[in-house]
Amino acid sequence: MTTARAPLIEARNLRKYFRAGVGLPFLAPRAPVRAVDDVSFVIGAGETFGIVGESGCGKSTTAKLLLLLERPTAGTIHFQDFDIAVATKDELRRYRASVQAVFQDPWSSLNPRMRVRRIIAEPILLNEPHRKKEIPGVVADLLRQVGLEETMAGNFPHEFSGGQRQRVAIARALALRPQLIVLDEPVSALDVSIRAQIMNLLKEIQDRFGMSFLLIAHNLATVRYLAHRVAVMYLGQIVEQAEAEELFTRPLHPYTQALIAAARLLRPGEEPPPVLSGDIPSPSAPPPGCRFSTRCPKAFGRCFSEAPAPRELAPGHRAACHLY
Amino acid sequence: MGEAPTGPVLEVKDLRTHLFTSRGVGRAVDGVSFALRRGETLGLVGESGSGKSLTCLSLLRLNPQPASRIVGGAVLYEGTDLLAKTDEEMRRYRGKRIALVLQDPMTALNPVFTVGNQIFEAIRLHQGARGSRLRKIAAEMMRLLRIPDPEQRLGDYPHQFSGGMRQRAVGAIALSGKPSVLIADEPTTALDVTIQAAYLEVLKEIQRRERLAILFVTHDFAVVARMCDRVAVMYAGKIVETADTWRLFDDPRHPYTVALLRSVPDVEARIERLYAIEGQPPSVFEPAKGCAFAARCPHAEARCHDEPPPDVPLEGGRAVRCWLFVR
Amino acid sequence: MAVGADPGAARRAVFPAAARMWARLRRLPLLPLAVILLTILVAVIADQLVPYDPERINPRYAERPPVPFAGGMWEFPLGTDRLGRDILSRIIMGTRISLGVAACALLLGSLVGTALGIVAGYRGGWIDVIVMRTADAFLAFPGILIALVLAVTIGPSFWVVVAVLALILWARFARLVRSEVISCKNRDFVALARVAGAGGTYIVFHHILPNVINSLVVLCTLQVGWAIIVEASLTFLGAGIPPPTPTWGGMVAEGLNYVETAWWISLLPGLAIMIVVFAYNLFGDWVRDVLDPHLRNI
Repeated sequence: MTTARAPLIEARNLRKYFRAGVGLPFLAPRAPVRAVDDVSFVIGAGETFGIVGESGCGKSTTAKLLLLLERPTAGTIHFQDFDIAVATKDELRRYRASVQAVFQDPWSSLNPRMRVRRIIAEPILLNEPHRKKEIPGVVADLLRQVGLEETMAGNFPHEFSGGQRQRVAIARALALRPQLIVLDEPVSALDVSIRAQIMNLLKEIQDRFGMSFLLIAHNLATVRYLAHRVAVMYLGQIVEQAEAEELFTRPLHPYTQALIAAARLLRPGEEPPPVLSGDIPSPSAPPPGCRFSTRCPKAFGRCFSEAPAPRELAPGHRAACHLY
Repeated sequence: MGEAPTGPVLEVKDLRTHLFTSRGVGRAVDGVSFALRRGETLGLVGESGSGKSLTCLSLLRLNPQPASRIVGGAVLYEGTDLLAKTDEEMRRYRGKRIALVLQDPMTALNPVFTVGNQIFEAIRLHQGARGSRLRKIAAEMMRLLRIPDPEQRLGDYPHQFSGGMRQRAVGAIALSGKPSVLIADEPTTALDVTIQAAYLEVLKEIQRRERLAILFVTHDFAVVARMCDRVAVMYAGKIVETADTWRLFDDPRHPYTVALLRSVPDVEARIERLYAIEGQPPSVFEPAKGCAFAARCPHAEARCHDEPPPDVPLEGGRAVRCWLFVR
Repeated sequence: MAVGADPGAARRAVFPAAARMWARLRRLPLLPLAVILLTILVAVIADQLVPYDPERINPRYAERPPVPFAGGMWEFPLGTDRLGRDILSRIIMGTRISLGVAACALLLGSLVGTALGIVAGYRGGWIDVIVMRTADAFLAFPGILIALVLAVTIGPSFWVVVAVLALILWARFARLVRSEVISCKNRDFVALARVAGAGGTYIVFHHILPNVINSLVVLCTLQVGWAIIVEASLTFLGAGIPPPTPTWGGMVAEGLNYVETAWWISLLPGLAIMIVVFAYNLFGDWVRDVLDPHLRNI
């Protein structure tokens, strides 16, 4: 994998299988849900790495693995000079302070019983309690950074609109000056006119502080606008990854092509692109061979029996497809 | 569409639906007018709170009561005003002549009955069919919506269907009354893009065959481009601009439409910086004295703040509600 | 710079919230609240309030009716019972017992129930299964029978009644708290607290408890009436507070055999139970409307 930037975090062969339901004595054990199934990627310092895919593709689980909210079934996460799985307590603390998150739903991500001041300062209180005295100044500064008034620090979350709440969530994520912020669908719950405000704010923040973003989204246009490099996930696997411009102008994998075709603005008179047949298969029983073979318009014999390995087809552009 | 022009099948004139809550009166739908012809799709685009969903519900008089009330206007179906009908008469229009599909198919389907049962029910109600004919028509409806193995899947429960298939089953129920108007309120929002594209193709095919008039509510411009012949843009309870889809995309006139189109990223283009509309959409409980968009509008003049702008007809059947176009 | 934060927006957002809160406060049920405050006051200063010693027997004035009826006298405005004890004094003292039992049982039951409900909901797994099945078992307990057994074996007393009530109450609290904790712990702010490095104890005290407390207050208020009724029933059956301590349930029981001749002995404490329970339930409904998180933001 070639990245122009120094790697910040590297995920190698990550897997996360969920046991399906409770094991009942008289029922055969159900197959586990393979939410993330052998995923590897590198996020470079200061870059936005986007993961795009449809529901159930495992993109949010990947985010949770990086946030240590889920424990991987297999695979490793390397951060700077250590492996998370065998990290010391001190290294883990350093990791937690360096990786923060912004989630999709700004109504659920702020505790309704806490004032904004406390919400934003919480990461500092938990990780750097000796800085307690600086908090009023830090909070005021963070509020300014995200375009809110300093005077709002004493308000409760319900006094804000959706876009303002998302700004508060971003301010909180910035509190520890992290090196990576995981953005899990940061704008999809917001109104169209507010989305642009938040996306622009995220860009400004990255320009100002130079941290990396892991952007999880289902909207391709959002990913194209924000991400430097993009991975496309389907049924727990990365089917293609490349620099954003490369991926959106020369998509190689038929799934990526279909996603882009479906998200395009169709000109009048233009024949709509052929639609993908069928549904996304269940992640607990993925099809043999290529996982996309059941819906792929270009699938041929080998695709149904042999899983394609990801290969570098152009500099920095990897795809897992037998066509190439 | 290649049909000879006919009168509109549905015409809405100055529809007003207000909210009545402890916070006061909210003008959620505040003078909405449009016409819908057979075989045509009109897109209704707007942000949350712009009143597009309440408009849809009001057309069928299904707006939540007593929280909201239709306080004025007319909804003409083939010339007769639905707002003047009794509740009993109104029931004969719902489903039979005007059908409604909502965003979340799971709430539209009853989880304890099979999908087949629910389609049977609708067919029995609207077409009076019974017995084996019922089953045949139901399977036919499911085939129409491209649900695979219809005979077999009639016995499935809603949770055994995927999201896309569920929305198709809802479509089968909605279309079983052979309506001439379909009101679709964000039917694809909960679906994944590839599933969404397939659903839209099915809907378009049915529309061509049945000359269905569709009012399609969405906030996704890619869906508008795929589905709609004309678009109406709603802001704060009013339609601020109406135009043919691509005229609107290529040459938007209302400052809100211009800003909205510039604030949306594009999969096909590299954009350095999106335009962001400043501020928040206004609250329906605090209506502006003048134009509702004036507070966020880069071109606002003095009179924009003082007086509500009129609806200005422009060339090509388009219209815009903005002072900038009043000479 | 795209600033979505005009200060007016915040003010607009604040104002309706304050207005809604005010609208709810205006519907404050004044009469029930007055009854509740009065009974609490009476319970606290009962010693100073009673005109006579409620347990003093005075056969000379036995079975006097309340004042407006023939034979009533102003010295005993609510009449006297079979033994000539002043009914007003006994009702006043009974207030203290009734509210005291309810308060102790609720305190005990809510503390134990909340603690177990939080552990069950937050930890899940087998701890959850054990706690909740135990709670279900306690909810299935025939409380009155248990109280009768206890009354026979260790003798009826104030604390036996409290214990029996708490045994049922903790399970109600545990169930409520558990379900609230589960819905709360799956919200994003808990995940974000974990991302920021918070541990389980911190999350429970700073994120979960503050979001559960409203429901607790609502349940407490609504259970006061229930506790008063059950205490009265137990005492009525002889499994509660033993005589001669004046209690409402006991007084109803004592007068039962003489309802035809001296109806006021049973009726007046019965009315006291009814009025107080009714007041607590009305007040509880209002508290729920104001505090219930599910009705918020509407």
